[in-house]
Amino acid sequence: MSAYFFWPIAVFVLLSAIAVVRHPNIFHAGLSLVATFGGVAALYVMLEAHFLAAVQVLVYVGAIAVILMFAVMLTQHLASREADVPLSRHATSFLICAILAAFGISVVNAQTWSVKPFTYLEVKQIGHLFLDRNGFLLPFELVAVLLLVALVGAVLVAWKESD
Amino acid sequence: MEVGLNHFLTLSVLLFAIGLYGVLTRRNAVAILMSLELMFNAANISLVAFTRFLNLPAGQVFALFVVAVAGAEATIGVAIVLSLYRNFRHINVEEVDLLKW
Repeated sequence: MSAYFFWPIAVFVLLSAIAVVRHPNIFHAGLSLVATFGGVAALYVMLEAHFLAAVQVLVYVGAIAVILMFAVMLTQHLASREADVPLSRHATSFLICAILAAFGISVVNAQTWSVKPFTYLEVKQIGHLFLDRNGFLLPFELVAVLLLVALVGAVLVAWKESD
Repeated sequence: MEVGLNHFLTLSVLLFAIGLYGVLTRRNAVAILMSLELMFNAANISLVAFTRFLNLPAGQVFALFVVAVAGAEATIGVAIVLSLYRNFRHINVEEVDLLKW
């Protein structure tokens, strides 16, 4: 696994993520989110999960980021109120997140991982796992129901009452 | 330097913490949804890393489920934000407190 690819992509992902959470202009935050998704897709390619990288770009960049930008466009703010957030809130949140991150990183590095050689996971195998009763058939069907419910629910919640 | 499982998991933890900071700090409801998506992606990175380094197919399969659920949840979130905007003319979560005691 080449370190030449990992470090630039990792730094890019983290910097874009920081831009998402810190940029006062919501539109720029949305564009930074697209950049982060792209960086994560690159990480998936590095991790030899090519199908998932394609799904990441299609679904996250192509659908989720687009719908979030729709929300940005349809809820235009004349002035950003993000500056009203007091410094104490920023400091407390940063402290909580820093403690959580430190804890997580220490737990991760304290483990002795039993690393095994990777046999490439074909898309066909993923498909078989989705349809295998001893595999992921039940979650697969449940996610299908969930998507249907989300579809109907979203339309219902956003429905405009025409008077 | 060999890049191992620890590197990806550390990246995942950091991305999750950044997303959490965004959820706690931002006032714009859509910005909170964006930060939430960062947290989902962090979890996905760690799942895919587990597939690659521990040879567990379940990691990628579960990551696909996470993508689907995150998509559904973002859609519902946006629908709620639109409904909010229609009623309040703003999406500042600090000022949405009609149900507060």
